[in-house]
Amino acid sequence: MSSAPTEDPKSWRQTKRWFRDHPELGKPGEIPTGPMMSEEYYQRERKLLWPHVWLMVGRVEEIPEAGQFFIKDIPTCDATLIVVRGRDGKIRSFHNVCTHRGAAICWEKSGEKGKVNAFACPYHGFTFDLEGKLSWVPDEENFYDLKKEELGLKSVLTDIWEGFIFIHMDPNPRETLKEYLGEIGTGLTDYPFQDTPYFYEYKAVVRCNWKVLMGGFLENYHTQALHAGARTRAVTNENPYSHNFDIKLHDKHRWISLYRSPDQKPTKAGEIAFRAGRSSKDASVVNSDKWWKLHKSFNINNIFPNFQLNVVNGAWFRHLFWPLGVDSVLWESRMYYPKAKNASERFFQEYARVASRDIMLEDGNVSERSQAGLKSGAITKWVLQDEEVAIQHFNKVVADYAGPWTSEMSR
Amino acid sequence: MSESSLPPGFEALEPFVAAWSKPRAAERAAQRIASNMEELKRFYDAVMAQAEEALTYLDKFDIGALPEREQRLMNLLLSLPEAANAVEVYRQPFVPYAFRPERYPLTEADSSATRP
Repeated sequence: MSSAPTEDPKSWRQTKRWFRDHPELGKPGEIPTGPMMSEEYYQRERKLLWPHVWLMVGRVEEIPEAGQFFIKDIPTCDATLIVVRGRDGKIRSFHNVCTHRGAAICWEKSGEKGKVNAFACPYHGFTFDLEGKLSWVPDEENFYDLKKEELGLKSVLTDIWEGFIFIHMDPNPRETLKEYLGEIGTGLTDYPFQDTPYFYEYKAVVRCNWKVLMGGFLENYHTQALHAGARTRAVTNENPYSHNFDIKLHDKHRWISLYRSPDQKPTKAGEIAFRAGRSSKDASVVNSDKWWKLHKSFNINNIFPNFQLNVVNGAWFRHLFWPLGVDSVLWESRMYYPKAKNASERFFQEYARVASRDIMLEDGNVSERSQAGLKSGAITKWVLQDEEVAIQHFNKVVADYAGPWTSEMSR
Repeated sequence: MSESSLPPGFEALEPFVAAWSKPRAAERAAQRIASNMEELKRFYDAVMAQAEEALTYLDKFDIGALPEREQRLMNLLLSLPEAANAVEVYRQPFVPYAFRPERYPLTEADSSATRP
């Protein structure tokens, strides 16, 4: 008689798979809620965390030509940036602040784009070239000893990874972008992000702490309850609690491969959509064999602190979470799709987009209800189960920057 | 006899063109929440009955340059996911226990377009 095959201890059929490998996370499954509602802690994050991390602000395809720029607010640093492509093709970032008397040079809103030959301040007309140099000053002779070469736009460190533009508010950062991303940066090499130019963007201000909203994007445990109505492919009879395929906790970042049943058809309309999507599969560049094998699941790349890059077959999403205050966060999500090759593929994309959006509306709502609960003081810690390990990891990295929570800190 | 605004064979969908054949995703979402369940069900039933036939028909055309009637039919189909989620999933026009859609405004854009 042969014995039963031994089951892989990391299989999604098992329980308690993750915390035991990560003693550095502290007591398994407990984190304090103080940092999610303390103004004092929020100020620590503003001082100790946000100016010391690389932040993703956009894609290179958004500004393909010299003189094209977009505006991006970095609310946690009280900064607004101009991200612009120079005549040399290089992308640079500058504070949107005139070096004359501090006025905003571009009056576009965060996320808006424009194209210029030079940046002229609307206040007195100080004019800067695309590389940030002060090129013209009205009535220049009337200034005393004006050192134009020292009055260029204040630049902000900028670097690019796989077409994603990152900035760093500290001119002398501890790590280069490559060092900062580490292992998670190597996992998506050559993914054809540039071939999916079409996107849908949703923006919402959510009345909760940024870490509360992000918590919902770091685990799949809630799918069987909060999203029960949606009947997603993550909940099956075989895997009713959507145990993940895999979780990797990196130095600062985390990667989660979500369970999804390839066979489950969510709805009758979904059945038509999936059949249509499959029929056009060969036509799509993102559906190349290599990426289908790697990303047949739904893979989350949670890049510290506030950038989540979700890669699925045939599309990718990204979320950015920008704190506006201790209990307010701007949530920007974009879903990118390749140009549909035919009607069937277009229909599949639309089905997937609408299904995801309806689910995200539930995520936003429950985050506000959680924040209200925390504010009552009725509980002082979150109790996490094994599949929520990434939440504990994320909050630990926050504490590595902003310091540990102590009960003496004011709420 | 008035001529159908849809391709031949899809005349049965004509009563839904005015409300549901909308080019922008935000308009299709708005139509969903402006409809009651009876309206959603009627639209859902009619389009579901011909959805695969319509996709097979439309796949013969260049998606980037659909003639007027075919584009109208395509836009009708693109409203099906909104109606289907209401009918099949949430059993009410919009998602309960969720943000109201006006708190989650949508922009559709091409990355390389000068202005979204």
